Amino acid sequence: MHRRLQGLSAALLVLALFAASCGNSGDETSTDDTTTTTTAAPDEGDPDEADPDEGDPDEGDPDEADPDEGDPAVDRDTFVPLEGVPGVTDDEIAVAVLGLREGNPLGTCILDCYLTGIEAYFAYQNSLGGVFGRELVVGDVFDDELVQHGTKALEIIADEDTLVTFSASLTSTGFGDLDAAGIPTYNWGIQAPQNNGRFNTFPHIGVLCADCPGRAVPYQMSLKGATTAVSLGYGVSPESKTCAQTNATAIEFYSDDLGIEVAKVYDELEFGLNNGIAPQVSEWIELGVDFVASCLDLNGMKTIAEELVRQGVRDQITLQHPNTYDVDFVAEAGDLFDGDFVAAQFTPFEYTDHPAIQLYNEWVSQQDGPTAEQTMIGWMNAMLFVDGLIAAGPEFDRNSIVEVTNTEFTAYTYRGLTFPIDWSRQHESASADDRVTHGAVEECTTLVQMQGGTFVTVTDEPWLCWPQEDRSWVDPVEKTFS
Amino acid sequence: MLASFGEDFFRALLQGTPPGTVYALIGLGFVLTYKTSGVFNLAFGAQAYISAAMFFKARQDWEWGIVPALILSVFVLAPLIGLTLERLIFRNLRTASAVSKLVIAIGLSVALPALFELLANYKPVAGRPPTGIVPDGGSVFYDPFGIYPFSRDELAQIIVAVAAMLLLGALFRLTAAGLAMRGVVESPRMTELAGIPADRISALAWAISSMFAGMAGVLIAPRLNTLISTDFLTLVIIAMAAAAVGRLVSLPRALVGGMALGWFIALFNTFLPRWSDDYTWLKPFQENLTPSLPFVVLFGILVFWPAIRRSIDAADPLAGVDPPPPALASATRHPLLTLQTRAFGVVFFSFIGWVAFTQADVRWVSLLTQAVILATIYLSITVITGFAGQISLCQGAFAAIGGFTVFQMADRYEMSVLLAALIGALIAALVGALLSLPVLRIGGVWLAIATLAFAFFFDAVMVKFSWVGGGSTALLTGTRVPRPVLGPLDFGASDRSFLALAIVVFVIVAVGVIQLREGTIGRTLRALRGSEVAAESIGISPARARIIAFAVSAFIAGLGGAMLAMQQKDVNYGQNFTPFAAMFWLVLVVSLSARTVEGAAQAGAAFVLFAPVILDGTFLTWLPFITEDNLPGFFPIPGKWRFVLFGLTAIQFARHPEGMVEFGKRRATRKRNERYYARDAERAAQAAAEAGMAT
Repeated sequence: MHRRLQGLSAALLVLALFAASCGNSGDETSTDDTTTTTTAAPDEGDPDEADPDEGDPDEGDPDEADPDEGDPAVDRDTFVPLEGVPGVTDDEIAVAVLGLREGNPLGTCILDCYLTGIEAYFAYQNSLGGVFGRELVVGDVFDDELVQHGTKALEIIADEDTLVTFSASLTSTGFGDLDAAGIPTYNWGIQAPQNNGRFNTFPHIGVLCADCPGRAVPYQMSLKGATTAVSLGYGVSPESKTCAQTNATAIEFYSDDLGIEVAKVYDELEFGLNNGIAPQVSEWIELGVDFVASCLDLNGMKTIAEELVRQGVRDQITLQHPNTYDVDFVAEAGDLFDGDFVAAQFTPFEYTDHPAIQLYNEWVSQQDGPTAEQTMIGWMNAMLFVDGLIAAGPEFDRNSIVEVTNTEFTAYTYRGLTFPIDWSRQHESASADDRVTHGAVEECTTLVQMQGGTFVTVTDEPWLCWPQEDRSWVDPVEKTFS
Repeated sequence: MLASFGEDFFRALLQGTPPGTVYALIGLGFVLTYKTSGVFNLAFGAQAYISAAMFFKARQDWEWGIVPALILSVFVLAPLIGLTLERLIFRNLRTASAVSKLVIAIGLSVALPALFELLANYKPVAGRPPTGIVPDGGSVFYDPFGIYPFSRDELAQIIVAVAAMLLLGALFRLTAAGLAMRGVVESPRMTELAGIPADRISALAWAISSMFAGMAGVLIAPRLNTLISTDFLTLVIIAMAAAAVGRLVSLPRALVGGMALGWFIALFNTFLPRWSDDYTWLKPFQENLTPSLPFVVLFGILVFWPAIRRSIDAADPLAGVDPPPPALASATRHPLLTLQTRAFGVVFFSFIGWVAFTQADVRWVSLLTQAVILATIYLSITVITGFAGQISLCQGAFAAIGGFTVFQMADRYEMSVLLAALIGALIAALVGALLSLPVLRIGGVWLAIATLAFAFFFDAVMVKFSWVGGGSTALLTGTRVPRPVLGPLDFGASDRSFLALAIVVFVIVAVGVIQLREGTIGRTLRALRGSEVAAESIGISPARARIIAFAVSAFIAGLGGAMLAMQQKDVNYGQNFTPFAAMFWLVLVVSLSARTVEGAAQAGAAFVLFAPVILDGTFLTWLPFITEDNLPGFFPIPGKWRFVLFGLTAIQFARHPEGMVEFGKRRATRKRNERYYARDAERAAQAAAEAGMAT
């Protein structure tokens, strides 16, 4: 046995020395010999030299179009026969949709709601005559079942029968391959690491910055007159843990301006709160906490709210919910969340007078679709795709769609559903030290409150914005984008 | 100060009581099932979930009253499931080892919820909380001490847990049926000799334990905001510590163990955060122990509590009269059959190779590569389980160590990923050897649980360290990993070249594993499997052999994990290496064949290729006249069926403990051997006759 071990050690040593003389492949993004890679990275100019009007949504933006009529300035009817463009025939433009249906540990509606949003937007566009003489259709739908995102992405690449991919899941392991294959991928952009630096990939609000302290949480505290906060995150999730630290940093940063402070950071909570949160709530009561900044899922938030009720302090402590913009979930909860804040990732549904919301409601209701976050994300993803397609012109292909989006859509607002996104810069994550190079022009957030199992507006306009570069405290400016 | 401490302490005890009761209920369930069937029933959570979901569906969808919903879910469905499991599976397993039963229970824990959801058309919906068995159970509170109130649901849980402990204790101590149940677990053959109908007693035991699981499920469900099966599995794993306190045989200790776990966690969460504000050296303990406390407690109980080491698995005293397992089919093959098998292998793999390297598209190349790499990882199970007879449920953690090492070395030092893979495998081997030290003295089902506790500890604590999981780097760009370059060969340039590398690595590891099996280490491990005492009497050191087995197994898993990270260009820990994934791996490998390289290879192929080839109906499109467009309407088969079929595979393990692959090989070999040896005999006789005639 000893001699065998010696032999094994010698073999390993030889192999190690051999390997040491070798290196790593510089081509991290190749997928296969047969796949062409068409990554359209925008030029990165000096942000200081950028056109000062770049952030102006009125400048050369496809959003200029009337959402009811399409953009009359752009020719969207010209038919040009196309050869070799995947998913495109003389009659149709087919797309793939990849999302999570089975095995969702949150029990929320993801793939089906997302798909409804895409189909509703396609139905709207088809009612306008389609695009370049073709109907927009959903070709293949893939359920990644939580663990097969990468495999299904490869199936999309291999099938080569759809033009672009839409994705909404809790995982995103296929983004690397899709991006490397040059397939434009529009997605629910909650996974910053998987979107970061991938120029064919379009998260719905640009690449998030996980460690950039924002002003939304301090503002919510001041709005409520709260002074003492705790910040919560799950220990097992680096995103959640970092988010908890970031919220705490933000509150401390504006501590003097707003008279607020962080009493404690709990960034190591166990996922699911299986043991409840009773001891922590007791400590909050002792610390005089009146605000909870959270980076937990909606089920975790409900556990906290119920514990606050049990310990008799529900009325004294306001919860800030990052992930609870779910109409059905909140309706089931009744008055449990009364007075709590939720930040939606788009112009909230409650701004019913907003033309973009009206258009959404009209077409989603025709599909019998729900008023759900994922439906709106699907709608927005589809909108960016169609606008890019139209802007690419009748001789479009994947590359031209990406190219035109990344170069011309420098203040894209989804017709007012979000703050302006600059796709020439926002494929990469901003950082706490530099929010300008890759960040949004302004720091904006939405805010709604929960009352009696429904959401109600807090401000007259859907968006609250602050200057990005100057981090000193100022009151937000209410805005409506169009 | 002291008064405040006392009040905080008492409040923490009260706050730990509701979760403690949940753990106690599950711990009691573990003990009940083990005492009455000899099964460490990891499927307890699945059974509890089914009753809870049935109760929920009857109450909310069908608008039934509490009593009829309770009768249906707990007193009809639950025992029905128990009786079915006993009749179809566990009746054949009475004399099997506790480890074998554990493997099947793992399979059932995945299959049962999926089957129920398919048959009952049940779909979890976020925010639709289950209601309990008492009216207004979640909204009416009682505060007996004026410090911390309990809901009606929680009081019902406490009352049922205590009543169950008393009633079940009485059943076992005071009734003939209880004694018979324990007797059937100890030795069904001896009890039958005594005139006790073992089958009927066993069925009764399963009906009772399943009913208890159902009741526990209905009671626990209101604590969850969304009724999802994975939450029950998580609770079951946390509650293992309670079962360990009860050593799987003591109901009162399991009850106390569960309650103590709840209290301990509440006390920990009450005091440690405060103390760590004053004493900063406590901060790392607080941060890292909070999410992993149940697993640390479990591991500590298993390793440091002498009573666990002394406890032995329930085993039939008459098992000694059973014949030893037969040799591997390959060892008894006729030389001609061996030649034919090898020739077929060459043709088959040449064809597969031709398809993979010339015909397959990016998807199939990737799937094949993944299958080969997983087969490499599964060879680690071949070593630790197939050769050493130990159940390790932390192979995923070992594989993750390999993957993370490659990521870290490439990201920090731009090191060659191949070299990093070797370093990762060596680190995994070191961790494996270190892990084996504290668990040397425990065996059987307890070793499996200890490794599971380690896997969850790795999952909850280690992965989040920046020097493991990447920290801020991972936040920005994930855990991306480059492909290797070896001299002029750039394995990043094409997926096919990486497939070739994966095959080479697999072959090297497979040859090493076969050498290990045939060599001194393999023989040592076989001797230990046969009889540890006898092996020791001839000078074999069980401790040394186990350490080597763990280290080699972890090395292989680490190497495979590194290869997987390179293939996917990302570690993808959450998808590849979680404890649940590793449990899946183990069941698959032992169900197919834990002792052979072929078993690992086929498990790798099954894990990766079964869904795309079979469930998606792709195999039909390889036939003439069938295309994707005219596939039968039931394709693709829903993913839940994969879990059901996985459970069926595990059930097959009950019938064929040597594994389905080895069973098939034996059957095929036996028939052909008979034919070939008969022909040999005929020829020999003919030759002898001719020789006789010549003389």
